Amino acid sequence: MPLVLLECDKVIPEREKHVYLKVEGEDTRDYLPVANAPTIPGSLSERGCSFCGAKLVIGGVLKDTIQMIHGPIGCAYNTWHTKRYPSDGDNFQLKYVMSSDMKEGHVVFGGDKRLYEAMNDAFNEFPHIKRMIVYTTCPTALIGDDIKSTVKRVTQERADVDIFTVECPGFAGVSQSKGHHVLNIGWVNDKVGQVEPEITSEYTINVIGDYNIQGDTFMLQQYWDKLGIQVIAHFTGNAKYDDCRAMHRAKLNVVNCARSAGYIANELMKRYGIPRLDVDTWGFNYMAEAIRKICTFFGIEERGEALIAEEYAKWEGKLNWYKERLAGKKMAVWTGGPRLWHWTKAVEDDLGINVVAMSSKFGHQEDFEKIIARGRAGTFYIDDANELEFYEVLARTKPDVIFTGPRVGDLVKKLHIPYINGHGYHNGPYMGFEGFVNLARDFYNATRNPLLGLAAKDIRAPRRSAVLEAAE
Amino acid sequence: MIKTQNEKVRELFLYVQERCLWQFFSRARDRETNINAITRMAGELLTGTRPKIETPIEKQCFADAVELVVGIKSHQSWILEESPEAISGLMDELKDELLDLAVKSAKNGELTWQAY
Repeated sequence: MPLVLLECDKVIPEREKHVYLKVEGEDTRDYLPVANAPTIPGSLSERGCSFCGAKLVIGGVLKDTIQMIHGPIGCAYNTWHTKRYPSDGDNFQLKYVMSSDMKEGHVVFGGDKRLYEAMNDAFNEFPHIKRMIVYTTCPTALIGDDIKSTVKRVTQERADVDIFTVECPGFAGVSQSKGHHVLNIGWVNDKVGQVEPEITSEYTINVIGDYNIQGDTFMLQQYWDKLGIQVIAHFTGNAKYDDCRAMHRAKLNVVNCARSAGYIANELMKRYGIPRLDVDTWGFNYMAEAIRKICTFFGIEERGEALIAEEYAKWEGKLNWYKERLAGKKMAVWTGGPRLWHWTKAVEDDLGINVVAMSSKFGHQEDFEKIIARGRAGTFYIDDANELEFYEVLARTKPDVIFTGPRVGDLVKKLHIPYINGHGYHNGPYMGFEGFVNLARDFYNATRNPLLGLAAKDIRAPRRSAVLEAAE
Repeated sequence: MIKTQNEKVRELFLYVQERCLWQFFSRARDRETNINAITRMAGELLTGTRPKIETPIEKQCFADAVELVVGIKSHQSWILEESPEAISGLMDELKDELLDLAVKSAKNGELTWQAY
């Protein structure tokens, strides 16, 4: 079947190129939705901005780094606290975010002095923190504030600090994705190669594109410890700033989120010859496959098999309990991009769940190649879906549960369909063997929660009818 | 039921489509490197030959090939009955089909974009 023009899109027919309904026998040589393209006027996108992609997704995860947002206060607040990535430190990264708090006068007369003062205030306020990322935002980019010059000045005055700049205002690209790109390339250009790590194992990896959502990194770290593998850097879950300056010393890059961090993996391969191994870490089957591949790379296959056997013995029974009860359920995934291709086969193979609709906010065509290759026939694949498309596709596919973010989640609640936070999770972590049992449990609970049904009942109905009648 | 050569290649192709991320790296040249190396190594492993590994990139391709072979033996068990020559031919056709999908006939407009 060709790309689909939904009923709600008849007034913006350009949207047809972004909506695909797969038919048995087709592949991405036949149809591939347009992606990573500007949002079409008339379509109310759910995308975030490019600055958000750099700060909220990647930079803000670092546990020992001051996040300095050079812009109005809202840019700081709206990229803080909306994702749950803890650390094994004092959760500095969750507690604090700094802003130069630009006002109209600073926009008119320039904000460099304001930034200089804010940077010093932040270092003075947190004397134990010696690392900082400074982000430009839309207004400070537009007025041409010279952030690098200010950073240079502060660095010269404070010998013990190191500062990274991300010049990626919200308007830099079509979505969050541009922010991922800018931070990746900036980091490998400016910071990688500056720190020599202490090597404690002959097996060293970087784990790239895992952000410790509700403890995903902690979950995977248990496996690396048992396998005797040293993680030089997590990019960037539970990571220190300096860990990521030492990425050039790993023997293997293990890539989970290829969308947000594939760039740095590619550059590490090109510049340092470190191979890139793409893996899936959600799902039993996939997690086992990832462990086996990594162990084969290092020639420690027996350790991998022992770990997999141990984890299956511990968790498979629980997973199967949920599988018996969830088989045949329908799921929609309305998230950023990679979780679509990570999850669609994982929930099908491990839990018997069918994914009937998927939408990606910032995925590229590369993501859609993976999603369509793994996804089912009869499923919708949508790029940058808008709210009306969402309602129409839900009506056509009738999923039992929707995995999405809090914003779309609120729409879903109004339809009295269970929603699970697909970004920050409900009760994660979701990665690894134990994590996938957590996902299954959240799915199970969502389908059996009576509150959504009760919420649909209007207890004011008799009184409201009387009011309406009187009004007529 | 006896499968035709086309049916066998199709089964292998669909399996790789569903399971393997290495066919969809960002850039065309990386896709070609992976597809060429991994299908060659998988063919060698299926016929009892140890692939030659000299570089870290080849080591990564080997890890992917080993896992591919495990999957093929499990899901396309008919391959165990094939002769070395037949396996070699099947893997060559699989490689061509993957290169066509992921590179030559790919609709992905970013594959050769310099700034990827």
